[in-house]
Amino acid sequence: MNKLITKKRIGFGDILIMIILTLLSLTCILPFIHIAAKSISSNTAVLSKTVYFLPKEVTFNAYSAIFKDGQLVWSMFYSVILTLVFTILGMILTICAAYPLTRKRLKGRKVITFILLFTLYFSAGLIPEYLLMKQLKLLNTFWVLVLPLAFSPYNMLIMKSFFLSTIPDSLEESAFLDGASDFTILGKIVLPLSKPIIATISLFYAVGRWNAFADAKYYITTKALQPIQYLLSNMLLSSSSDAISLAEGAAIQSTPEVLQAAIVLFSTLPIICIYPFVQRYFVKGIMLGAVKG
Amino acid sequence: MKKVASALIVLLMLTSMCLFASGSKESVSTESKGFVQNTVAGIEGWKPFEKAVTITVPVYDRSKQGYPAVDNNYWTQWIQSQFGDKYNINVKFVAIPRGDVMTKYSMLIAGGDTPTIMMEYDYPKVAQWANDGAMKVINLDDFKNIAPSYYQAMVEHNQLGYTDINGETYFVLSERPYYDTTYAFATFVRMDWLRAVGYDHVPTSYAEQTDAIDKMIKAGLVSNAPLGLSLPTSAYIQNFPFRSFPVSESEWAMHSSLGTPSLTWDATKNFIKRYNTEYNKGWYSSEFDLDADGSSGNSSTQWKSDFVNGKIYSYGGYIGTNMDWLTAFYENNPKAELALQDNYFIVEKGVVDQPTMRADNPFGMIVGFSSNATDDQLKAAWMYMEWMSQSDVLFTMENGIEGVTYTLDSEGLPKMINTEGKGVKEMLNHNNNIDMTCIIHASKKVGTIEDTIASMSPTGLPVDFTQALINNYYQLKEISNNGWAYSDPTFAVAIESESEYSATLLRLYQQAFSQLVKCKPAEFDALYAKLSKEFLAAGYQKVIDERLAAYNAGNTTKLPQNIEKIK
Amino acid sequence: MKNSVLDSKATQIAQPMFKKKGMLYFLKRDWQLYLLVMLPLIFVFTFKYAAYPGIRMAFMDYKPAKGYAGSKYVGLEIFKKIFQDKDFKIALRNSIVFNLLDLAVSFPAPIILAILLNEVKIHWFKKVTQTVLYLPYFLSWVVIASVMLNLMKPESGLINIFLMNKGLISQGIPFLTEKNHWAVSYVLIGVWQSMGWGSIIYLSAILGISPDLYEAATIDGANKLQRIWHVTLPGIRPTIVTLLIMNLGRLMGSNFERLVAFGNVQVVDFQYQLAIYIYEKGLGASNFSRATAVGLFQALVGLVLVLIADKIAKSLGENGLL
Repeated sequence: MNKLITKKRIGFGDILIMIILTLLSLTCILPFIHIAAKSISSNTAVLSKTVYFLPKEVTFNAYSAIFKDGQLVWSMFYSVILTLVFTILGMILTICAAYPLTRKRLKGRKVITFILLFTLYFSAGLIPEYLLMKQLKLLNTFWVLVLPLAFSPYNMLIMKSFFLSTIPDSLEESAFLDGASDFTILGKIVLPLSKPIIATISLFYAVGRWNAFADAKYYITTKALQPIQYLLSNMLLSSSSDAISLAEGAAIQSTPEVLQAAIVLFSTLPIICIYPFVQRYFVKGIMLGAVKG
Repeated sequence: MKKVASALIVLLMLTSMCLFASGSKESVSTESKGFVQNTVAGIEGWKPFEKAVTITVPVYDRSKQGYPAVDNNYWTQWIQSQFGDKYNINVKFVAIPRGDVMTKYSMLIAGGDTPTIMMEYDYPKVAQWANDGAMKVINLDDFKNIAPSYYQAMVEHNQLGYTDINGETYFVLSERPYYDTTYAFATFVRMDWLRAVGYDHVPTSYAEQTDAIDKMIKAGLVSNAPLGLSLPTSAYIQNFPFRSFPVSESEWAMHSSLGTPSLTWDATKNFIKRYNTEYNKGWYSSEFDLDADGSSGNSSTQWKSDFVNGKIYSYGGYIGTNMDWLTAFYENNPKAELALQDNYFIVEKGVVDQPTMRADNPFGMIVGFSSNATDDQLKAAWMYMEWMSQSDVLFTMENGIEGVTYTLDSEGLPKMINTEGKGVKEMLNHNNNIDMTCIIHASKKVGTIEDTIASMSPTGLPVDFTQALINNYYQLKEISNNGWAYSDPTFAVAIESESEYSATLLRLYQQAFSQLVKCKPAEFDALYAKLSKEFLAAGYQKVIDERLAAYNAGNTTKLPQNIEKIK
Repeated sequence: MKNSVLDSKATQIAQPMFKKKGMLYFLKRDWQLYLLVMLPLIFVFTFKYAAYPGIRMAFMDYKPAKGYAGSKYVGLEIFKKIFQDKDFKIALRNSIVFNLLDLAVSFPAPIILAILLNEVKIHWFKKVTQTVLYLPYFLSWVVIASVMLNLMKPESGLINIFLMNKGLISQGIPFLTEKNHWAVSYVLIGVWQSMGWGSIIYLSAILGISPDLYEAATIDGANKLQRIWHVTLPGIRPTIVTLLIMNLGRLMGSNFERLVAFGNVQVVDFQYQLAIYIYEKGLGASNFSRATAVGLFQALVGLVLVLIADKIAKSLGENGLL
């Protein structure tokens, strides 16, 4: 093995890169620090807009309110399960589509790809999809948040592109000639070599499901089935609009800003923690020796 | 011969159909096709249904943290056990997100799941539902038979004129107590600043107001603009004082509305012009148009936080026992003194001769019924409404359980216990269950108006504002008694162009407002003319034309009579 | 027996054009592949295609209370009204311009970032910055906008206060309140929000580049920049092309949340884009027919652009989407 690699010498270019990255990272983390500071400050301080990066009049009331509130904690737990199920299903579907469509010998490959791609750009609209969910008896069920969006043509096309560019045809042809079935090739050769892309697309699915709540808004009415991002969005865009206040002639007590900040952090933390775990799958493909022989 | 015969037969059929149809309009029952009235009107005459009936009742969902699910909680179960179980009715609640009411209703209607009861605070919205066929035509005699006290309340509050659209009866209406006064809204001003510039009372005329504010700027009490202003986010324009008095009824019908902003009306022009003058004197921050209440997810506007920080002379809001911005204000400014603004401070001879204001609708929720409802469902829904209107039921719904959610004070009036976040199973939903009791009235009444105000008065502050708020109410009542407070018109037909253009017109109004307030005084008239022209072309002309036509056809409410009396 | 299987397979590979095969043959041979792809196809038909007939709403005067049966057809009238609407033209123009700007700026940013991150040699630094950089993606636009406004307001924003205190400027810079400044801020904030997240896919792609290629380049005397240009970039070219084609389909797209969060009266000239139009004149007015019609227009244009881009990519030797 040729061990001629550049020694880990930190040159000027490296320092420059690290400075740029550090600056960028700062801009990315500062809003979070601001929100975190707000979440443990007193309501007065936050209302006065005097909280920047350091909390004022530290109080953990917001967090204790969240944890005491069974709904939010349940919703968090529920959202995690939802995301898990969704991601697994999504990955299965994506791999089931991406792999066969990379095989040139599959007749009708282009047509099938087009059929799937078409749905990326065309959607029927709010009411038709609502009516469809109603017809399928999926309204107000757990599965209405899982099934309709489980297959993402976008993710599938990315995965397909990956398969095409990282797994050489020769590898598969040789296996094919050895009599291996398609299932075997997929399971024993392609998937093990695709750890990075599987990790990436899984992350895409998980984050996609976690952040989205437009479907929950219209399809779910039972509180217990609401994902946490939907609950949060309702509180942020709280009904403090003039029109509503006027119509009702009463104060609309919107969620205090401190609480909003706490809930933002509360609902974002889990999904942020996933990436470091996923990072370990971002390893170089080990197949690169397999073809050469 | 055959042709003539068949033509005659067809003619006969058509004629008999018409006869039948017009004939059926005379009798009471066929309007709701076989609705059988009870022998005894009211609760005495109710009998449990033989076959279980399910009704769906909408309830606003505000996603308030710390509150139970609006469609399934202690109180929905209480209603079921106290009412539903008695009469073999399944009372189901469907949550309507408060910020997206129309879309949610549209989806339910499209899916055939229209709630049995449909209700909203905005008349144009319910008119649209009726117009589009989502609501059922009802017969008020049938309603009176099932729900006589509810009906009687409607009679007492003069609401019978609001029940029809396109000549057919669709609605019943709930009460809005003290609708002619905005007693629930109060503006607080910095009394200590006033004292600093030589005033011992709050300004009672525009001359005093101008003098005081100008003095404050000169004295440099604060380095920033002393008054707050935010961008209007609804079509509610407080141009009432700038209208001619008495106002022309046709103009009122065309322009006075919460649905569309009346940019092109003279009253609005003068309303904005005053802001323009004030802005150019340095009263307002140049960033005011970035501050739109409720947008950007920020529940505290810049105006509010500036007031809390002690930088602004006045701020107003709806009163309640827990007003976070007042609490925060006193925490930040312990030595400050606040007073309630006087409603006459806008009066300027020749421009604003009397402090006219908008009276709310003389009704709260406008209640209609799904066109898919069966007669039994209709009956059950009416029973629900009558049952809840009973004073003991209403009292329990609004106050809860004695000792748990409220206690009785020395005068026998209920005082609420703060149950937020305490895990009390019997806790009331948002604002004392208002989203369920709104079908009866728009706000809770506690004894007399003074008692009601006392029950809403902010607590936990160094000063008790109860008496000041009550005095404010008296002043508002005096204004109303003088005929200076009147409601907006309601239309007995749906104004189609209003639903079509209202969103666009609001956006244009916001832009116009910002530009007109900020421009130089000399440019105002020209800019106003230009923007008005664009506004009319963008759809407002169509709206006022449609409204005028409705008015001329007699399809609107009229101004209160007493306006004519005052000269 | 195995040999004959081998033989037939080998023959089939070697002579694809000589024998005309029926569909049945391919189904038998590749049944496993067809089985696999059946699953997502079923999903797509059940949940997407089944709802497409509802698109006919764009050709009707649809009212929820009347349903499909009760609403009448109006043909292309809705489309005509839309295309004649002055506001639509403004929204369209703005959407196209800003989507192009987004493409031009937001598209390369994650690539550059991924390359930079890849060059970092200190392991823990790389991991930490990676995690931090994609944090903005998890904040909703509402939250981002409120933070940005606090920073960028012309008089009371932190940045302007800082700059004025230091005497660098005399008047606040209207980052978000003057339309041209707004355009720049809007696009840059968009880059900031998505570049960390967007770099993940490219980092993943870079991992697939054989280290041998880097070695070979180094042996040939290439410096860092040359290695990036000749090895890294070509190595991730398929990913770049795929993502570029798919993003071209979004040229007619519009992000409602993002636009509303950053909207204010001063910048309506640019901020008024298709998402706002759809909301204001479609959903907000309970005019579902119009909302569907605009959606249909967006989808058609998007699809056509994608197909054209795909053809171009293929002609240049790339894999393309289809």
